[in-house]
Amino acid sequence: MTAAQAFGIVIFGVIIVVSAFVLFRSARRMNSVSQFWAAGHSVSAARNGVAMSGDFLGATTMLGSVGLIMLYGFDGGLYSLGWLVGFVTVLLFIGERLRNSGRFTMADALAARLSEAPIRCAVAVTTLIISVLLMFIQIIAGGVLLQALTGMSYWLGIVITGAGIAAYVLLGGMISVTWLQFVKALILLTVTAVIAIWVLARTGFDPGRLFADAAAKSPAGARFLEPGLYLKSTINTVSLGIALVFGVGGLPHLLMRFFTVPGKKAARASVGWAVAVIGVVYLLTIVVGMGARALLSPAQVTAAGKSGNDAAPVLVQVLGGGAHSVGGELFLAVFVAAAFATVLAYVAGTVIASAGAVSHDVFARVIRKGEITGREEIRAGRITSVVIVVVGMLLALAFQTKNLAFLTGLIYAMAASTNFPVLILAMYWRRFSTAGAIAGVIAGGVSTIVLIVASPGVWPGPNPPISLANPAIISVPLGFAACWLGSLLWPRRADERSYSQFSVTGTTGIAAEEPVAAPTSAH
Amino acid sequence: MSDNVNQAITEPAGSAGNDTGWTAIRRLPGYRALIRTRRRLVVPLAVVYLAGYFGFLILAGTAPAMLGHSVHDGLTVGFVLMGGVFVLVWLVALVYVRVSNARLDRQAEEVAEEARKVLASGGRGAAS
Repeated sequence: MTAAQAFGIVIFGVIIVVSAFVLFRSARRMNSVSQFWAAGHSVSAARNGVAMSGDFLGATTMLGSVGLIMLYGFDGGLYSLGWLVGFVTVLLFIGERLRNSGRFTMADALAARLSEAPIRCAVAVTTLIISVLLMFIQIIAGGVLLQALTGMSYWLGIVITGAGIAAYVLLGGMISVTWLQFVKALILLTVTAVIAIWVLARTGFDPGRLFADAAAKSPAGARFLEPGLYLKSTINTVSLGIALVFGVGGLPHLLMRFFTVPGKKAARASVGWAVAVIGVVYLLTIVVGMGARALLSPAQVTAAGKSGNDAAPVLVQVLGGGAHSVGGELFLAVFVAAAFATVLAYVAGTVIASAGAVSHDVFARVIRKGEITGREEIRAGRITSVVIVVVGMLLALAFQTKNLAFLTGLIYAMAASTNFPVLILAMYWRRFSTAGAIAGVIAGGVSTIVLIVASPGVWPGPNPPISLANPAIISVPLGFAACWLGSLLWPRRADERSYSQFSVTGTTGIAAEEPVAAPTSAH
Repeated sequence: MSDNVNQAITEPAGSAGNDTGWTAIRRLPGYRALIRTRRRLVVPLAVVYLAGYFGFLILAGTAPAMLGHSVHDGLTVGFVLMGGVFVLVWLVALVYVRVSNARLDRQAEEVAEEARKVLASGGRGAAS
């Protein structure tokens, strides 16, 4: 065993002990459905806001985004920006109204506006696809990290990652997921800040010099500091931008976080906090990525992998004193442990969102039509969580490739072309109908998948039919158009009638305390 | 309008069957004023952040060399603009949160008061 692995095992042990403490604290309070899905609607705005930024900053940030910036300079930074912008979309259009008209999941809100069974089932499908894919990417990262941290094999790393996440969700539900996300976001912020300051210290706190050093080391030279290395055409850049700006508003695990706070004011403040934290982290990420390019030797850049996912860990090791030095190994271990905590928390969030879609939306509300005790619903939620974690683990064992940030961009395209149009139109268009929503979900989802399969990077042959790397510029308008067309072709009077109530509750917050669509369940 | 059969189907349990009260609320002058105020706040902010972000992307796609000009060493025009979009996003969020807290919440509470009265008298009340 190397010194690094010894450090790694100690730090891994600390993570386990600390998180187990959080878990048992929260598990004691976990005694009702509302605690399980929404932490009893009692989380403070600041804590929820930080946790919301945690829902969003995954291993993709610490690994994927830093790697993209190291490899592609300016374009890597462009990638980061879009996610931050996406939060403003949620803040302005979605967050408060969702909080005012929903209960546990985004489908709860939609069910108050459209025909309950079909809309819950449709949104459950998109939720599962989006959450399971996001989860799968993070679990891959978890396996790789655990392997790096302790020297254990990849598959064992996956199994341990999965087991840890399952334990969290099973025992503590949303309460422990919120705590986990909160703590993890603070750790991530701290670690990224330390690395960024360290990098800047190496260049006299002069970002101009840092960027110039980075460009000098890059094979692209001065072009490293201008657009065009990664995003080859304007249309590709804009398409990616659409996916990010509107995709955030369709992420089920993020939308679920709006229900953990007491009301719309806290919901709004949460997003404010999240925008602040995420913005800071991404600015720091740019510094770290540039630092990786400026400070690493060509051999070390190669060691960071073809997609650059290991740029940050390699950089940390070099900053600490290099491989095989005590400092280098220690800092590497700390970094990897922080990234691992990030993975655990992120996956826990997506698991509870998927479990909510299956056991709350479909099982409790559609199959049992609400005739279910709180105890039964929680049990269903726990069983679903385990199944979903296992699926995520199997996927992670089967596939292990591609830059993590790239894959995430594609999933955001899915969210932006399915959930986002449905939510927006349900909130702001009186004539939106259930059939329109179903049509939108199908058109948006299918077109996203087809365009991804036919895109460069995925198409198996040498000549992909489409040169679009991210499908959003086509699939998002298609999703909206199908919603509109479906609503015109198959209008439904009941949907139009419920718009009055939906928009009044959504705008004023009246009756948000006692959501209309759901009777209280037995404790 | 061949869908009369469809339209006759009653609502699923849970949603409001008779919502005349809710529609009446939407016609209240106070409610309309609230919607207008909100729109006057949200629409300009949305235009600002979307135009800022997508304008920047289009600029990046069409004039890469211009964005590659150095402002200070490696700090190019592109990076300065990128920083500007970060700041813009923060400002939009800040303005929205501040104005909502200061004005919209109070206005919404007043409308909610009126709305509760309407629900209690006219339509079937859902609020307790």
